[in-house]
Amino acid sequence: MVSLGLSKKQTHVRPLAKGELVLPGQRQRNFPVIAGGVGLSVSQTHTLEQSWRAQGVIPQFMQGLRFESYACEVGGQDLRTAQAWKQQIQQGQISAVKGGFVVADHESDRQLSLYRDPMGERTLFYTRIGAGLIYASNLDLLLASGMVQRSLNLDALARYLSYAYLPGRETLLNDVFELLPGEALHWSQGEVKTEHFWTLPEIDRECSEETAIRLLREELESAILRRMPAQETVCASLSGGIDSSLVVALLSKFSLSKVRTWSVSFGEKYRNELPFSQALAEAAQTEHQILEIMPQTVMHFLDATLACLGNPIGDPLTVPNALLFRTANAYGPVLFNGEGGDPLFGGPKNIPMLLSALYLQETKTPEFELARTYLHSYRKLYADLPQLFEPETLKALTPGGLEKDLIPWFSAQSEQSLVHQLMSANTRLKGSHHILYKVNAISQKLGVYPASPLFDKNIAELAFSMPPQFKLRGGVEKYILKQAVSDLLPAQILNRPKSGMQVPVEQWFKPGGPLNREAKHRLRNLAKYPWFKRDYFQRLAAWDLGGYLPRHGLKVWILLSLEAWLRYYIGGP
Amino acid sequence: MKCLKCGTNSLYRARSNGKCPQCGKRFVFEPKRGDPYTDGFFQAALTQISAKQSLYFHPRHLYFELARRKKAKPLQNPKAAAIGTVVAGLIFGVIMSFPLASFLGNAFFLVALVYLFILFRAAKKVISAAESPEIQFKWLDFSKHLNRWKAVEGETIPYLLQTSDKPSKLIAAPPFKDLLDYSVERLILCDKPEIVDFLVANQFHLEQKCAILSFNGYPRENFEEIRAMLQRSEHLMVYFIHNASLNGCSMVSELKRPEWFPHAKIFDLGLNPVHAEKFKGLWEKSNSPFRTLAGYSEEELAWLKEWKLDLMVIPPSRLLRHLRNQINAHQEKIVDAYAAGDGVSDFGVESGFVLDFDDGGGGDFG
Repeated sequence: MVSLGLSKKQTHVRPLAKGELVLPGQRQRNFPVIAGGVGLSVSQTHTLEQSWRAQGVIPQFMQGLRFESYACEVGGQDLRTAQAWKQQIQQGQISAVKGGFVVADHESDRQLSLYRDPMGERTLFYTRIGAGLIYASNLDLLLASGMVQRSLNLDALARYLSYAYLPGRETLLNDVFELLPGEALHWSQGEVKTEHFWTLPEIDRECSEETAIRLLREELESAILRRMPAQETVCASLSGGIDSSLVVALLSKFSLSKVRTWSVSFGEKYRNELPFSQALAEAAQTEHQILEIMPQTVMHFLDATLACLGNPIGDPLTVPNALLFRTANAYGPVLFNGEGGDPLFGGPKNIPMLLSALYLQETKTPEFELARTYLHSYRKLYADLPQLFEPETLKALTPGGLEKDLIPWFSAQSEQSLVHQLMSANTRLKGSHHILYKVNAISQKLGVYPASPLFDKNIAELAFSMPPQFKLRGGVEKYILKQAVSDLLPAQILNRPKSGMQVPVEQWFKPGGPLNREAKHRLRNLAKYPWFKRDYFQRLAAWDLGGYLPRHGLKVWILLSLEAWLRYYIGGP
Repeated sequence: MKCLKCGTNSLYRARSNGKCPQCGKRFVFEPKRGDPYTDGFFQAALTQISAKQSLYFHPRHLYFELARRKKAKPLQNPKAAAIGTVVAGLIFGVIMSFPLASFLGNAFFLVALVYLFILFRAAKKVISAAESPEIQFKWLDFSKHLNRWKAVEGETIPYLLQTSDKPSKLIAAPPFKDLLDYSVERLILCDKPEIVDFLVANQFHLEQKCAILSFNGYPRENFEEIRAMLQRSEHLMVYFIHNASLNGCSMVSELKRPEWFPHAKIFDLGLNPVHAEKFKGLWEKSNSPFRTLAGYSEEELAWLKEWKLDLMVIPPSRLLRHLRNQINAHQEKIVDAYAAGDGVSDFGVESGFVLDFDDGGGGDFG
């Protein structure tokens, strides 16, 4: 790749592979978390009160409203008080709120409603305790109640291995659930009902391209302005792709002081996107640094990062993301990212699925086949499950459960747009449960708010109301998004082909690679759990899974993340 | 010979009924009765060609794999080997002549002549077998062997695609109304439908975000729609793969015609006569009427007049990996051009793209 001649000494930061993920001198910012319960006995309430107060959280059991939010407003008014939230709920206008939130409204000591923001920027877990219900904004807090049995949900395990995240309500623990984005849960007299208070809109055929471009630009600017800190330094991650570049370009336009940006690199010998991020940093005149992350550093912080996450995420960027938040902590309260452009505007997952539909073999169940292909398109361990799981584990799974989960997204009807359905699935599954979940979970403990302006509710509504042909134009991905910011970005970034941030996991974990020995040790530990065949791990460690593109490194990473999660949440084998 | 079921090694006299003396499993092949290989040999070829049951393959992939395995290691000096055969035969003949001369009487000279004739024929065969580039294994024999294998081991061989006369059927009418409103920027164009089936079965189109068509209009149900969709692509790149044959090599020049892709960048990834040397011993006789082709040297045309080389001589995993590497390398060149801030309008290079069979442990093709 091309070097732009920046001085390495000035621009590179290399986190060391030692110490804690949360630094002793880290700025402690007040990030409220919520927890509470309803329908519990007096002794249960007393136990929970003690457990949660020991964690520094004041729980809610009686009438009242608790909320956790970031950059929330409605009709230009910020929502900063419980009273304002209550009013919004009473008016039936919770769906009009912009921003990330979870709200627990104890209407009385016998009635509770929980709400989660439409896109899934914030998270809420819950579980039933007898006829009652307890909730908390992270999994650790829910488990700190001491009332949850820690047993593994095997269907959820199969989902994690297939997606590298958990794509729905179920967590890896039996009977522990995550409130879905845009969902309200009502508990009354021991009965639980859920409803969606917000759904993705249908396509508006009347929308012209010019109008769409103008409206999108307005919404982009508004979403970014609403999330900018009032006075402190503006911080952003900058990968060099179009999404993070447009966010940084707009931040620089609006910020009174220089924006501080970071790119991640894994060393000079691996392909990277640095020339693009550096070009944008120069054009937008940001204070730019490269966070150079060595393999030993990633492995050192793996356990601590998984412990932040709650639900496991098998994305090799989790540790670099955590280190980015930790670095940004010293400079500002918010770290912007460019997440959201791909699922909302026709990113790279669509074309393989379009091709799959074109080359579908004759079958009675095309939606089942499309669901299978969608699972394959994640390129994780879906195809490996029969070799990875013991026969007893396979028997315990819901037959065809993975595919059946997806069939509603691929019900092939002549009036439907496949791209629209794909973008719905990508936004609802990967967007909410992987991307937004990850940045929210990691950032909480590192004292920095994640700002994902492209996942703004208004932008999502606009994106889904546009004809899909505006987003995928011929073979050009994210066409309308590029048009909306064409004046802001250099042509080399605007027109470049997507290459994506590649973490060199293949090179790290391969036999002879710097992390091979550590990986083998951890995989041996994972193989001791009763659900897996040991032979699979031996073949994986020997780089001998077969196929022309077995992706050993990525599979190792997903399994190492699972091993760290199991050790932390369930205990050793 | 080893039983595939129980692993018992048995002598011929113990398995003369065609079954394993230990577990009673029937053997498919018996080299003592003229079969060219054992069950273990055939199974090893199946395992290799399917990359341990992870890749789909065509029967011709298996055919060439068996031929490759059966083929003797090329002799360094075939003439020396032939002389060695003659000398050894003569010494043996002289030693045997003493007891035989008195026993055979006058008939000895006749037997000696026949012996010498056989000896020189054997020497000639050593030279011709070592030097012949033609595949020595008949397709018809292979087909019979495959059927025998199926009769004993079961009709369904995992990951084996249907034979060439029955390409699998794709869905005729896409159920989504917008499916053809979009396009892709890559096409793998093949000279044969079987290669389309092979690539699609192995999900190459998903991995590399490319359409896959055959030159003669496959998949039949969607061909025109997909071609029209590709013609709308502003930056279409066509990667053409084909047999090294008169038919295969003649197609590339036609792709610039209006009904194809006059504005696309076209990359001929082979096979071409230039690749033939690597596959010596797997060539087949050309059966097409000769015609001259633009862009090929006299020497290459002379080769094409006599020979052809099937793309399926390349094992599935190697072909898929080579194609992927070539496409990715091209993509990286484009990204680098953007990174350098130049070459923005130039989508790569048009020439110099031939399959490089020497990367990553090559040399096991021919």
